Amino acid sequence: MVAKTRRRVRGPAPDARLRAESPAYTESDDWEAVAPQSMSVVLSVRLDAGSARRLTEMARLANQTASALVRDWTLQHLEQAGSTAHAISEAAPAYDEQPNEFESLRDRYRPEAIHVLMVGESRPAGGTFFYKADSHLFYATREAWVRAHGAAPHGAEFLSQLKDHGVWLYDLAVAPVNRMSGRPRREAVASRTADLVELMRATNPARVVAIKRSLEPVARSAMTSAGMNLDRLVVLPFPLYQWRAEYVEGLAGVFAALGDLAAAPAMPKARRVPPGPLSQGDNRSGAGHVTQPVTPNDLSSGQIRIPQSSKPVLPTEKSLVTALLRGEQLETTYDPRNGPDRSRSGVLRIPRAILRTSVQPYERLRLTVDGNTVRLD
Amino acid sequence: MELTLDLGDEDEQEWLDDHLGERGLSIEDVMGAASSLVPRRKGDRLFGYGRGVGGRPIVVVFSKNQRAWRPRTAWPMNEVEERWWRRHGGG
Repeated sequence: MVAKTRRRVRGPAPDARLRAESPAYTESDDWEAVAPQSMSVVLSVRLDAGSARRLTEMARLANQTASALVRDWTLQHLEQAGSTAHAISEAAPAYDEQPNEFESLRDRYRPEAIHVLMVGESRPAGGTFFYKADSHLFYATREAWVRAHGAAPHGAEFLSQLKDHGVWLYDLAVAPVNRMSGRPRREAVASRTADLVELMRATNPARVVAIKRSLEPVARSAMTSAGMNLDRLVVLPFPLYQWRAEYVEGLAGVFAALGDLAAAPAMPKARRVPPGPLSQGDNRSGAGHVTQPVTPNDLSSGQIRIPQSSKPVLPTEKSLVTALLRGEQLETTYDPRNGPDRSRSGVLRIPRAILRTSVQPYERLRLTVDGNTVRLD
Repeated sequence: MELTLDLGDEDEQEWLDDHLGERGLSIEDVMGAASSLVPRRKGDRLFGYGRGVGGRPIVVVFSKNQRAWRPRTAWPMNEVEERWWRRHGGG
């Protein structure tokens, strides 16, 4: 092992010289008085090039800088760790708990009629669980309910309320996968796809909410196999870090429409639209508005960007909207991306497969708003 | 004028922690002082007066590093410095 060389530590003599020069000893007009304050702090982090590249890639997808992403993650961990320094060490996973305990809890809250089927990847390895009312997913889901309906009970009472309203969470993998990666993780998630198809066939939910973008192909495939219309699918990110707000907003839209969904459970081909901000008595028209050019990156990301000039005809907050893309109707989400620092182009999410078949690279689409529907031609 | 403290990367922080350790202080003392600082500036030199860990009054000396200020050294206040600090809004 090679000893690390360090800069020689200076003795007290330089401090004595500095002290003599300080404003406390030599008060003069040369010292500029600066207002007393709390300084902001910059910490630099050195990473290997590969990790830095992945970080910048993730930051680009999140429309942030890499530094902002690191800061947000750190703040999230600090919030969770509280004031105790030892809390930065991760709790040992409770692998010894019996899976059946979790599954019987899940079954206890299974509604008789499922209107909203939430599809997750697996329960967390750390021992928390949605149906134990102590996981990130539970708290974010409750927040979405509060956003949609104004109030919600806590803990098990909220789980019972979800059951009463026909909302159920189904996890694709029986055992936790969140500390696995690559093929084993994919295989664990894929292992229960057939069960998911059977569940969808048996329950015919009005909405399927895939929780985590990577589950979208699995959910779409299962829905197709079950003969369900894909416009019932809502894909949300897992509610951690900066994605929590998007999850809460998206799920709140689904919860807000629950009354309609429960009233119309047998609507296999229905293209019913949940009431969104576009229907709030504002019959705006977008005549003369266009989208940004749809770039190859937009095509691969499954998005259409809405320029500042066209944003006024669309909702000012993240919302569920119905899009009519060249005659194809689909339910999707719209994010105006009105950040606190600067406003970016709004983003309308469109499934990649549909976007690629409907739009050519660098095409601009004409945008009009007709009642609840955003028409893109 | 708003001030930004730059602690640098891990090597620089390690050096600073060693350096301050020789004076019975640590980076946490500097952070504590930075959260409620009475500053005085002369060119590229900044003297900051504040409270370190446990509320101990300390002086931190910064030098200019591009747009931010990098801590170079610090020491516990003596009576003269503490009197000056209290007279100028500290304490």
